[in-house]
Amino acid sequence: MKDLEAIIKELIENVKSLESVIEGIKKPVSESSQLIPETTRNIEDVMAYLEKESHKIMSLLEEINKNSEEIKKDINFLLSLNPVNQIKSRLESVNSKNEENIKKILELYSHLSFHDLAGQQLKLVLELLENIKNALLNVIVSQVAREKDLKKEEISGLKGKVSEILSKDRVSQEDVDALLEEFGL
Amino acid sequence: MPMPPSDIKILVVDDMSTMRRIIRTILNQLGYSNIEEAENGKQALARLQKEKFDFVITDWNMPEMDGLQLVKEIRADENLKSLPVLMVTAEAKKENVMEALKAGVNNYIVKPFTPEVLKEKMEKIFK
Repeated sequence: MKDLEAIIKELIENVKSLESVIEGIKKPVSESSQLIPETTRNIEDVMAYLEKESHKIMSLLEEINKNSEEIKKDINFLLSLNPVNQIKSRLESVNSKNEENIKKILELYSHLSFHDLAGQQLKLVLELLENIKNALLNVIVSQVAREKDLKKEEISGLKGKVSEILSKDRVSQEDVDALLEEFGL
Repeated sequence: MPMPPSDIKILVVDDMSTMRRIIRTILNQLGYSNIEEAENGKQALARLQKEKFDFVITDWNMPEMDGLQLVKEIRADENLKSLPVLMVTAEAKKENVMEALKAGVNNYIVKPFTPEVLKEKMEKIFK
């Protein structure tokens, strides 16, 4: 009788410790899984904003470039009229500055590739977030499997469920909650 | 006798619309006006197999099919294997350059690049 009492006591203690382990995991997993899609969205917004603004800058540069080409044509026309030396030298000077501006506009274009380079770095951050998300969900699988002493088939079912969620672009909070609920978390 | 730049049909492959526009504008300034675009290697390969192009400028990191795979596919295709390919990428490690050269690129430019660098590489390829 004493033995049975001890066993029951031990069982209750085990359940209690298991509950605290589960509670301990549930909060950070839930918080993190909510934060990751949010962060991903923010980064994607930044990338879209950068792209939009870069195109605006390029459109303005195209207009400036077009104007410079017009100025070039006009100066060449004026020069072809054989103006007096004083005017000719001024026109030549304007022409040379205008040519310089055209070159600088082209240089500005190549500097705009910062958007592509920044975008590639941001994509790496997105990949990292994706990996963290996967790792977090794998923590759930292995923790649940260990604490609940799941059978092989159950672990495989749980993994299937997790991979089903992971195959989506984003894991919604509802997905995570449903998964937690399914496994009593 | 080399082809005049305006006759050279170029395919610019990059997943970033800004980068495609930058390359197109610089090429226009250099006198190349016959330019088409593709967003990734897969799309590019489909176009190359349908239309005749004289030159390909491709990025490395792209979804669906990356630039390196595109080069390998081009070199493996009997009709495309002699098509000149220039890789324009942020991948600046020595092993990346070696890998690209091994795959069959004709030249390699690291982003960000100046219009002069692009001009120089184009001239080298079409010399």
